[in-house]
Amino acid sequence: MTQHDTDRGDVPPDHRGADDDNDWVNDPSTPLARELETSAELNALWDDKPGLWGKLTAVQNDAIGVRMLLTGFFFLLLGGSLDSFVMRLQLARPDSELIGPGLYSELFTNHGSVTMFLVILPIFEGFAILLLPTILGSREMPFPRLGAFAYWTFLMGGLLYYSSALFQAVPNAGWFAYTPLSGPIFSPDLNLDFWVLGLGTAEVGAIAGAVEIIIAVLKLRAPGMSLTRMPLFAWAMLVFGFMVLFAFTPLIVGSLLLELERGFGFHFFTPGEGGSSLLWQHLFWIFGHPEVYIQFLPATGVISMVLPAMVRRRIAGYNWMVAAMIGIGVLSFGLWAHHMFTVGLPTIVLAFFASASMVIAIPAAVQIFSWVATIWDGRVQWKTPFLFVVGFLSTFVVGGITGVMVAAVPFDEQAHDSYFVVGHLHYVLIGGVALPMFAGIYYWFPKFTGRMMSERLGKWNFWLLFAGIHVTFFPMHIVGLLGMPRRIYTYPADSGWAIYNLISSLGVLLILPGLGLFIVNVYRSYRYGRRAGPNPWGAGTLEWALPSPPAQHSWTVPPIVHSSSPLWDQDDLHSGTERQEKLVNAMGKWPLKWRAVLVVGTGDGEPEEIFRVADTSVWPLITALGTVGIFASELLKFRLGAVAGAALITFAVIMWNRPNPPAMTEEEELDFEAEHGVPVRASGSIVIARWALGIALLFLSIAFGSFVLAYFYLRIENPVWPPTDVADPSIPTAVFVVALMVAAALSAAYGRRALLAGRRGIVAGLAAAGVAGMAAGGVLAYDLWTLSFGSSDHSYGSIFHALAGFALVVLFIAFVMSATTLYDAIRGQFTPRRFSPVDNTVRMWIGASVIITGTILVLYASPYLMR
Amino acid sequence: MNDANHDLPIDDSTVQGAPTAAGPAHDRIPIDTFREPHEPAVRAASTIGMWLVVLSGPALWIGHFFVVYLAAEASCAADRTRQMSFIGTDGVTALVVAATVVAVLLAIAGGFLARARAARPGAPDMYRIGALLSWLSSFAILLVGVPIMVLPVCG
Repeated sequence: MTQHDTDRGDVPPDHRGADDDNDWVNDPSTPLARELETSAELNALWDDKPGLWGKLTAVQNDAIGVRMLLTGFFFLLLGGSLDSFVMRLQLARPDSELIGPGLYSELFTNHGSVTMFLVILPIFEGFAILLLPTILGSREMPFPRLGAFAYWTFLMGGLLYYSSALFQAVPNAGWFAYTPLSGPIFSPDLNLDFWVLGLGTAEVGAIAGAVEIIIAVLKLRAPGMSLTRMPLFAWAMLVFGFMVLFAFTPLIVGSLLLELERGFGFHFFTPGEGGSSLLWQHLFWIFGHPEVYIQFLPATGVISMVLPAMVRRRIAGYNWMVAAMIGIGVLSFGLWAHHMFTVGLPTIVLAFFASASMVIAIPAAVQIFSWVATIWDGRVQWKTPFLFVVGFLSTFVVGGITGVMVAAVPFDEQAHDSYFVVGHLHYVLIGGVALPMFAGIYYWFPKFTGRMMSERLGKWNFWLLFAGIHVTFFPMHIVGLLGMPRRIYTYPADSGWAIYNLISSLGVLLILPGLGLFIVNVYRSYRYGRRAGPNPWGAGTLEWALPSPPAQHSWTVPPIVHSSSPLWDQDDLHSGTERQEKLVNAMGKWPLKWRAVLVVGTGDGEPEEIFRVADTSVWPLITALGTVGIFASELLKFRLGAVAGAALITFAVIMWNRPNPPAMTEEEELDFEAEHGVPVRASGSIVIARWALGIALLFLSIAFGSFVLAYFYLRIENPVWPPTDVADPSIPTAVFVVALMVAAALSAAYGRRALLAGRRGIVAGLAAAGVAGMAAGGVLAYDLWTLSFGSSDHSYGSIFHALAGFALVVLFIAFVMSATTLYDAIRGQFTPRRFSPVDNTVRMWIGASVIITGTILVLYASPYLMR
Repeated sequence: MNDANHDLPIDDSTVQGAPTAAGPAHDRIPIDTFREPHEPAVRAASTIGMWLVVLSGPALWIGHFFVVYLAAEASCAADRTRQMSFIGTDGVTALVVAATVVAVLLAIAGGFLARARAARPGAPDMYRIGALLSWLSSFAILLVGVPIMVLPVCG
């Protein structure tokens, strides 16, 4: 039995140090973080630069996290509230001619797209980037520059998307952009290009943020914080990160295919040319359904932090909660076709997806019962965050149960595309996601501003929202069952739907003032709120041991953790074994007066490495500009601009990753290592870099897998493959390319071995790898160039060119990486101690070889195998 | 898989630092340090073995799901486009039954394995989570497979 299993006794009683007359809210009974005389110096070291330049180069997690939250909220006001208000005005009365069908189509498309892509994701990634270092007892996110890049791409993608309004080309084919409606024939204007390209930019940001979050949770924790001592918010964000990788990547591939079809004459979704419009639905929903859980899981993480603090009890069934989160994350990838129950899938396939859709209710219910049991066991403080928790529980349960209803195929065939589904999804997304966001903001606001939010305004805020949500969305279930379809701009007076629509529209008149009060409350509390001490709620997790607001580096002396609620279970946050104490105290002092972050073992949370985390840089912004440049050029059909954007990205990424001169000599590192038993990497981490490359390769593999699924989907749809007048692919070319790739990987590995053994050969190895890789790319490109068919002849030609093009991009990335490493190797930058880039280059070549070989097998060998 | 890891007091409430050079040598691998004398710089114990056990249930579920789904989808699409199917609809039925039985049994076995690991002294709590995941997965696999008993494949 571990500590948190046996030790479920009373947590400290409410020793609130202030009453309502006292302008200082704090629980003085909990232990605090230790500060040293170096705190001010560390704070300055971790802070971003001042002024406008400082804003553009900022990477610090507080800055990025708050920006993401604010940007997400900005898009919520635009796309979440404004659109829905106008739509509800239009639907308030039958036969209304307030706005026409065209504008209505734009509004519902915009509403769905913006809330799904530009609101909830940046808000939760913002929460994570802002909170995780303080919660986990670390100082920063592992890749501050990647966080900044994620933010810039979110912002620019959102603005690019919204700029469609300026050109009167607002996307209008639904948030799912079904083909053929979204294809070049039925949507010839730019509307859908804004959808694909603007949101595509934001999707890149979502993935960048996810990579950073995964590694932060797995590797950047306090000593002693084993996996099962992590706060549940960290668990939720870990599962979230992996889900984003597995869900957004197929969507990016799908969007790429759609844009190739729209802008370049490819055929993936046109049945006449061997394509399949259902392929798009599969690619979209294999993202789209996990997306719901991608939004829901962080919300459950927030609730699992707020609720225990509000009832002063640790969460009931921690292990069950973790299992439920992982279970939901995995099961959510087998539900996507329940959005396609009415498209004519095989009977047994319907049953597979219906079963999976119902079974996911089990882990979701485990979570609900766990929260209810925690409340039952605890003593409730009826503060605003807790009101939102209760609002979440009651609303989400309704949405969950209607979800099980629509998981039943016969019921869904009746309710599909009716207002019943609109009611269901808003109960899930507003009840299950939006209310927890508010709970989280009310809960953590004092931590990051040093001010409490007003309880009075908060209660008004909650009750207006809560009442408004139910008045608006409950009648939709009824009107849906009465037969009202979704996405219609008006309805006849004799339909019997008018009264329900009127009630729904009146509900919005409660929601909007509720949101308005929230804004007023944030502003007023930020200016005049009561002062918050370190722990105003008497909560048990690490962030509440820090001053409010915390210093830029969060922890001067990293905490040592013995429990999942350290502030409730430990008298002192910095006591542990002699070794641990010596190490964490050393982290606060010289010789580590650079941006030093502790890396811990994934399982046990024991110190593994100390490394120097990246500092401020303008290159993430430039890279984001390059990314948006590619997408914007495609909008304008200015193809040279896209090439320039790609060149800019390549250059900016190289500059972004240029190593700083190490802050310590190797001898100093070794002295520290000898004294503390933990390796120091002042030139950059080896452990974290390996993780990052591993996840990058996972991303490329998922993308490759999506292309392969698309290939075989099209293959099965076409009895004659390749088409009759097309020759079979050339086997000698295939063998040659694979051989060259193997040679590249082996040469790079040889170079690494030589370096680590202290021999010459690193330059030769990397140079040979680059030459072999380039030759492989050249052969593949030549073969592509001389094919007897074009990319727009038939779906075979289209998918052939798309997949081969993807392989060439992977090769290009490996080549650029290898060339920069070679440049540094020639300059003698690497030693047997400082070799992280070499390590990663080798792994990249191996990964690229596997992907290229897979590509070759699919494109060149499968036509022979599948006769 | 490094079996020695499971003996580490990973989630024990008695905090134990990384073992020193004098500590148990078998459970930690020396990291790359190239100056003697080599002080006890250690690489964290690998968690791959633990993850394999903990995530075996979910992995079986997703594997089973994609095998039965893709087989059914491919077979029915082949029927529809009048191509030779690899296994035909009867083959799909047999495959679903076989895959479901095998996957459910494996998931249950994975659950018992995780429980046995969790019972070892000082074992990380992750194994308890793994056992829960395996039970959930075995039920979920069964629920996905059962409809083949009553429903036609392509309909």
